[in-house]
Amino acid sequence: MAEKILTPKGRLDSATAAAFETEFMAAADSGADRLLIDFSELSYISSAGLRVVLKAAKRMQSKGGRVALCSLGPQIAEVFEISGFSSLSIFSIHSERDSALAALR
Amino acid sequence: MIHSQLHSLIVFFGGLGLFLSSINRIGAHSIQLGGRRLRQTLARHTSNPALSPLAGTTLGALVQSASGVTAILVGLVVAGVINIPSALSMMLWANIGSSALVLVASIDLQVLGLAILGIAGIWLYFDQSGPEPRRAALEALFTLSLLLLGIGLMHTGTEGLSGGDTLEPASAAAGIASEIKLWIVHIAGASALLGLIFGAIAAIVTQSASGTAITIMAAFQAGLMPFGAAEMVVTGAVLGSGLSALVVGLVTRRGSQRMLQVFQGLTKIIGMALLLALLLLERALDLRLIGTAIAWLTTTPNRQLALLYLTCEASPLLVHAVTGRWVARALEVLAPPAPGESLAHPRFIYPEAVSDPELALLLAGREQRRVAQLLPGALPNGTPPPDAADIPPAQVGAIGVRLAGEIGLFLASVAGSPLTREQTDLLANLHNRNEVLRNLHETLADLTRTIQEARPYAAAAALANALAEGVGALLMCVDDAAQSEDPFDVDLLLQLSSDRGDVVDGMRRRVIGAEGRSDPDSQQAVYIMTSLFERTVWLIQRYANQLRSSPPKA
Repeated sequence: MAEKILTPKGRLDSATAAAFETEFMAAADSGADRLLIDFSELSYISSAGLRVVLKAAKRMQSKGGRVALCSLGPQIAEVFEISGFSSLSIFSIHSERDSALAALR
Repeated sequence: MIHSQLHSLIVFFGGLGLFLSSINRIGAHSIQLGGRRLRQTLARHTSNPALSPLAGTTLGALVQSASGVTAILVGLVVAGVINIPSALSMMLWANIGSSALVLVASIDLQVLGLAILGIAGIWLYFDQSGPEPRRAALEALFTLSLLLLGIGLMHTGTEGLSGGDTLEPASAAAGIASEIKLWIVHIAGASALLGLIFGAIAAIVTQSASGTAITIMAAFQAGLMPFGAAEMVVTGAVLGSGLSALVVGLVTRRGSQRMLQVFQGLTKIIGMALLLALLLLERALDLRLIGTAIAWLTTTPNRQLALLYLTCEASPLLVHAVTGRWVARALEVLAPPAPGESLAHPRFIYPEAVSDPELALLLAGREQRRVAQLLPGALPNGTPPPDAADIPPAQVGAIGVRLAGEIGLFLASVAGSPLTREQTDLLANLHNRNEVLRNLHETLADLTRTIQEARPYAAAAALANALAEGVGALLMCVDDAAQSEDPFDVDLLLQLSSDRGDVVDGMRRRVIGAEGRSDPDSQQAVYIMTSLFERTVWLIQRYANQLRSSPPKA
């Protein structure tokens, strides 16, 4: 059982989504089956960014792993709510990193 | 004598009004009457090079307007029914077709017009609840009869006017009529150049070279101008039609419309320049050229004018035959293709596939996945497919609506074929999905507009931005599910499109609280935007349900 934490910074949009995708693919290929994405340093997420997060979650689920998200800022939480991502069961959303890690373990 | 001539002038005037109002309406009726069947017929005829001239000539004869023909051909090119070379060829032949009315006008058709008017008018009166196609056909016939009657009245009026050499200025009205006559003769008949300019301006203003030619033929018959001046006005009318097409083409954005207009303008102007040179040489040097050939065919002056008009309209064909390669190069520079036009063409469905329902449904499913693929590009900052990357969201949405419309018509045609039960189920499912996709594109167009209108209000703009990103992500998931039809993706889409009533209430309270109650425009923008968002989510759920209940992948 391996755990990996990703902390995207600044903006996650069409310009940065590809780099983030490469990062989580590397994490998945390294054998990690629990992925935490910490949004505390992310100020903005676009539709392209949301798609990459969903892709990461689908990838982990196909491997039998789990994904948790934490520390969503107000703008990011609102976009999650509007898109319906906050109601998905494919990942869990937590306000703090500790509670997210506890949920993964 | 005075009363008789005034009566003739009024008859001519009434006929002119009837003629001009009918000539505009007859094209519209022809288009309405034709619809999909006209497009299918044109597509079939243009795929056979030998039938393309016939299709073009018929189109020109029915529509009687170069701009009307161009509009139809642009629609056919954009819809992918015909290709650009076919459209250019049809446009040249449509010019010949538009001469038909001028030739008809050189003979008196008042009695025929009255007979058709009687039949069509009485039939329309008693057939008020008849089927729409039959009523459209009768209304087209009714308009045609008014047009013929208008031409007939102009003939009658001009015969009355030409009965006397001059109008006797014994009354004020007759004096004014006499002044008008002298003015026209002075303007149009003073020199070849003035006649040419007069004809060009008249054709540009009325947007009908054939209408101008017919009016001038009537004026000539009434003795309002000499034959030489009438010749120049008729020639000028065709030149004006070419100039008008070129100017419209050059101010139009890139694309098929610009290409067809510029082509029409260039070939007509070059053709008319050559023809005018020959006409002026013939006059100056007393040579036996075009005028002599026409006089050999008919000795009636009005028919000579009609044949001259036909020659003018045929000149672009000759120009294209000789200079086609150079014109094509000029078009590449002056009217390059617009981005997105090929995107609007159906890539899978085609009319002949209807005869094989299994193939037709497969193709309709593929075409429909293209419509779903366009969804993310229909929102500001969305992620369109690579071939739509440079196209504005509103245009992407319009293409989506157009394609869904094409698929809808195609599916309706498939419904007319004998189908198995499985095929009927699949057809119904594809039809429902298609309706949802079309509604989604229409709703997204409204949402995009509202998002842009909300920009001036700070809190509303922040919500607009979040909505654009959130809905954009949802649309990408719609695309994923549409392409794969994987049950996992479809289930995910169903979860994502769950009811958002509470979310919308929360958004409204938050934004309206932040903006304050003093700004009704901002409040209205927020209400419209959030209502459209709710509708979008509801449509996505309907689409997901259709995907879940669909038979094996179409």
